[in-house]
Amino acid sequence: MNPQFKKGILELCVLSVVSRKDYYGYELVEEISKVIEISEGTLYPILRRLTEEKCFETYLQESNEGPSRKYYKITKLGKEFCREQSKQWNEFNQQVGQLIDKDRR
Amino acid sequence: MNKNEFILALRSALQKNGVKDIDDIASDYEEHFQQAKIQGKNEDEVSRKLGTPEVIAKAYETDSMVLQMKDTSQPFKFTFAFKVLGRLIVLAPFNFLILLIPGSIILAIVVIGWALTMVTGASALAIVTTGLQANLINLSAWVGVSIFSTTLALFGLTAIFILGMMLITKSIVVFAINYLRWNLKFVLQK
Repeated sequence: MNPQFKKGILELCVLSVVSRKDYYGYELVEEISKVIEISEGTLYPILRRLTEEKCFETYLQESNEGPSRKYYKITKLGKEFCREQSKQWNEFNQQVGQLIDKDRR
Repeated sequence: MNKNEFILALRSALQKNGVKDIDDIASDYEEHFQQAKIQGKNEDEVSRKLGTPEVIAKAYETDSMVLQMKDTSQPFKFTFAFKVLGRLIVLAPFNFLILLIPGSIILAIVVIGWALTMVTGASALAIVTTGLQANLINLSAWVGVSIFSTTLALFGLTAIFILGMMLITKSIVVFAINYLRWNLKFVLQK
């Protein structure tokens, strides 16, 4: 996929994934880079920004395998933002789809 | 790059860019390396996948600048606003092309507005000086009063224009920053 498109939806991807369950950084990076090829380091600025914008809360939790992990949990505000963003994305996607597929039909 | 080299490079890049919470940010990446190690990943491989520390630091810096911009308790500083604007344009150069046509129209309007303000101010000054000179060769009281009131009106008009143009310029800059910030989400380089 074109990197310019990828960046735009990265924030929405992060919001959507975390809205399903709480994630720690590394786990989230793995989850997203399984589907989209990205520079993994650019996800942490997004996580920090979304936390500062009160879309996420963070908490530390011990793990059996070693040091404690910082988990990200979506807030009510984050859920609303996510819903709104995905609505916009779907509309945009549909509109572009209409234009792209016109010639083929 | 191994873990330590990566963290060190990130820290120095963050410091150079004046980002706060460096320890906090660095600890996110330290945790990333730790968790990757548990999964049996090689440090060089992990840092390669993370990307360039300098590019990552730029992302944090731009975020903190935008945050500072939006903080309404701080006085609005034009120089800082233009710095943010410049940063956003550099990060998203294709924005510049899109903004070029509407941007130059808006810029033209702003320039004309400021020019008009200056012309009003200048004509007020001109009337004062000619009025003073004319007074030396003795003018009727009536002409004197009308010159005085016209000058006063022109100065008032100038003051109103300056305030208006300040407001207009400020809102355009803020709008441009918000627009670019929104756009930036689509273009932040890999």
